[in-house]
Amino acid sequence: MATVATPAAQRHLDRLERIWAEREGLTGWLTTTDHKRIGLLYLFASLAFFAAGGVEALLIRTQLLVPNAGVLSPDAYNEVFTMHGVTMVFLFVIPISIGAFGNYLVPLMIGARDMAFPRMNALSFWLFLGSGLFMYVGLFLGNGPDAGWFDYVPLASKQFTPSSGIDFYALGLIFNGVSTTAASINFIVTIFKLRAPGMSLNRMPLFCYAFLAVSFALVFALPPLTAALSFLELDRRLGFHFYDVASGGDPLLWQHLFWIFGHPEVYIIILPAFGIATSIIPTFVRRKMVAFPLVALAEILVAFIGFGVWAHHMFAVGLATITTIYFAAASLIIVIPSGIQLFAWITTIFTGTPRFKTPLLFILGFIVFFIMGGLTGIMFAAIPFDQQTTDTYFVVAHFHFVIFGAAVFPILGGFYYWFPKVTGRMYHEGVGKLSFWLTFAGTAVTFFPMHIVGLLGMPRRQYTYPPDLGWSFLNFLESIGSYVLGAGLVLIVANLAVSLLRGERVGNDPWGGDTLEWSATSPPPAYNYPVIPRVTSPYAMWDRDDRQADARRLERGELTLERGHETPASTVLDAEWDEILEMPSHSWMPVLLAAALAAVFTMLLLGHWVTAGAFSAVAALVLFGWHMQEPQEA
Amino acid sequence: MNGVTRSSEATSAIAAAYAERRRRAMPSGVWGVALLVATEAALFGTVLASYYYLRFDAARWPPAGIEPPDVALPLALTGALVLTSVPVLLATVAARRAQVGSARGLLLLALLVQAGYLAVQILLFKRDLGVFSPRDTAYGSIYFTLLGLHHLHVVVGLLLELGLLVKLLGGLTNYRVIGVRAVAIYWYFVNFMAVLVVLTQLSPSL
Amino acid sequence: MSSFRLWFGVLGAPVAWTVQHVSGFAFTIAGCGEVGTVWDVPVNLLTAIATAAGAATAVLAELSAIHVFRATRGAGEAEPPASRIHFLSVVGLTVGPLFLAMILMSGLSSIFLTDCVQG
Repeated sequence: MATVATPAAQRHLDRLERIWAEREGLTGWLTTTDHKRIGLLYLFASLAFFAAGGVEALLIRTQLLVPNAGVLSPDAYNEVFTMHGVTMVFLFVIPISIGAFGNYLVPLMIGARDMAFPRMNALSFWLFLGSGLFMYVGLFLGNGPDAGWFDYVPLASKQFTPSSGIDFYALGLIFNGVSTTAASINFIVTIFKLRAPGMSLNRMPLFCYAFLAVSFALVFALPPLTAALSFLELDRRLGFHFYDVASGGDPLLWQHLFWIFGHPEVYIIILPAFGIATSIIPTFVRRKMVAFPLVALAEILVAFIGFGVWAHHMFAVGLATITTIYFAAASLIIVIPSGIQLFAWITTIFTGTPRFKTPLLFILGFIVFFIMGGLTGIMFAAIPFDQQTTDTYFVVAHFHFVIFGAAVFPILGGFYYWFPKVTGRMYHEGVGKLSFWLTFAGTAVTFFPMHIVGLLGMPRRQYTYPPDLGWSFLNFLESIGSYVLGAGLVLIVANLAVSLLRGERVGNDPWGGDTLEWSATSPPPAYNYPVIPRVTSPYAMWDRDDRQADARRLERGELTLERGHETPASTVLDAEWDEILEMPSHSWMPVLLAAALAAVFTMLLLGHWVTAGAFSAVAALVLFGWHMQEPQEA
Repeated sequence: MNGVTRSSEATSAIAAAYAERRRRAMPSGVWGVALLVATEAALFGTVLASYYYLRFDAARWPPAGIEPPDVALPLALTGALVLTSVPVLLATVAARRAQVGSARGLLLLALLVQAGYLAVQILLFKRDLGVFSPRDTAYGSIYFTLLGLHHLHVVVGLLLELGLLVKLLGGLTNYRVIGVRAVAIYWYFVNFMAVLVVLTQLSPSL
Repeated sequence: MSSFRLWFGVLGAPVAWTVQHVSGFAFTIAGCGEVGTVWDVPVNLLTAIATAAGAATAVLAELSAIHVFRATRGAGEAEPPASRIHFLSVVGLTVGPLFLAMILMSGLSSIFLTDCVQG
């Protein structure tokens, strides 16, 4: 692709620049509906929450460095590990995967100019930010949630936890759920309708399959959580009896509802990582992914079967075996799609020509940790084994390997991979490799000993442990590991921050990438593509003829869609071009609606029901105002 | 450009009808509401499943001291609500054929019947609250929560129709035709759920 | 190419498993709850019916997917819809055995285990 535009091409580029110009300053950012800007907003907000969750983790590990340490009181410890879990799951890993990576990259990968619902995209971000601040206000008021990230009743009931921390948790998560549901709907419609003409389902990048699977999973997984949390609040605030046995309720109802959400949630956490891995591997081994249809299917299967395994979190609560056996069966079979992906990735790497740059190193680390975490996961599918190790550190080891080792490593690799695209500069490769090794070693040393200490009987969520049980050395080691891990993460941030200012400038495609975003400039212009790309395979950038045809179309002003904020809409299965859509641009409505909803949730927290109702009416008015301006009127 | 419509430019009823006919796939707005329906259906499914879960746990349902619900009036009301799917459907047909007046009239008719349904349901809800409380038993808790959730969806549906009618005062555009289709899908869902909810509500008496 | 054959081949087995899984689980909850003693839910009979129906549907779906796969052989690199149909048939043919396995594993085990005790 020519880097210097001819006069004819330049005229089209100028017109598109003018049409899609982003407003400057704070107003510009508050009213933006551009998916790339929203992706960056999500990125920085989630990183701030990652730092908070990381501090919480270091506090936990410091408290457990030696027996009977006095760093945190038991009550403070309960708040810290609860907020660590809630922050990492709801305020870091999901928003950064879906909100940051998904938002920035999905439209680019499918050859579109924005998401299907740009204003709702902005709304998702502001709602997410609001929900995170909402929950942290509770913590700062000394009233953080303290019943664990899965908040079991009866502990979380009014009788046993009268303080409002649980209400911050319940209302905050419902609030957060609205954000994530809106984002999921946006991704599904975008991936279904806005793909470039020619990008039929079998030509869609695997990254998009992962995001399609994640979004569908969220649409169906969040409502059970909302129901569980709503029942909890009704019990706590209005004296209902969903969960108390004396009046006909059942504490196990909470467990079922929570885990019907909670298990799909953990696959939701890891699926974007699969998507990132399947983007990085072909690029750095210069080979197409082995068994493409099976890998695409595996991504969807993991999400789908994931809905049928929830009671494996309840193998020790007294359910009849004729009930739990359904979940043991599904938990065993769900390994197969994950296995398919692992074999595909490993075969692709072995039969390709790898370049061991930092992004690929993080993916290799991911594969190692995913295998480990996956193996311990299968062990839990065996009911008798699970009944022995549930609620011990063996579980903590398993889920940190899969959440941190397997879900976060591709995110870290993804930072390095797409850093040149987003910033137009290259990071420092030597420091990148060092940051990988520190993070890898830190992760291994922190979480591997937890398997052993768990089998030795150390329960989870204990604020301290006695010195004579043989757990001391292992805990000490884990805590040292966590400091090394922290150093690795700090080094990653430092590398990227310095490279942002002083890194070597790069062009469109420093890696020889396989997907469409590498054809845009670095960073991409507001309109992403001057010419809507025509696609004939899932590796659009490696189809040189197609990309050269795009360049010729720019000359002729064909498929430039420059009569307004335009993007094409296609049919779902085969991406036949169907119509041209006009997209909305800057709007105050998303941030206003988010503020109104934040007020509703705050009033519910405070028990001012009528005022909450009033703010709901305000929200309804804002929503009406939102629809007053039709896209063509913008 | 090979015959693809710029559908947003369809700002008159006739142009909007033309854009509708040319379109081969469901527009984004319709997909969006379909997914909203999917997530709300999952929410209702969860609450309904919770009803049966609590019921399987109980030796007596309703518990001692609470009468099983009356059947006739709730069923009749639900029947009336379900029938409003007809004017709603006809409104979408009218909108797609550029018949603004008919679309408005049919939506208004549906809205009035639905509002009447809601008014009577609220009276029944208050009457039930006078007889047994959600704060006494799990039966009461799930009974009133299930009904309340459904009524909330009816309220939202009425507001959607109201908003749509206000927009339709200014005529039809491509955006508003899709709006009519979207609100219609929402109402088909509410009406379908009404059947499941009332059957569950009345299940001890059936 | 019959659209029904394709979509049944892709979705038949997952839907069969979903129905068998949810209903099977529900039968055990009903059978082992208070209501089980009041209504006398025939858990094993219902489980057997659900498992047999689910398994049969999954097998038929697999056969359907195999049929479409054979009919579109060689269309892997063609223009859509042929390549897309072939791609979906590969999907269908892979899911069939997985869901059938889950249906049989859970259904048969549930029938042969002792009722209402935690093992």
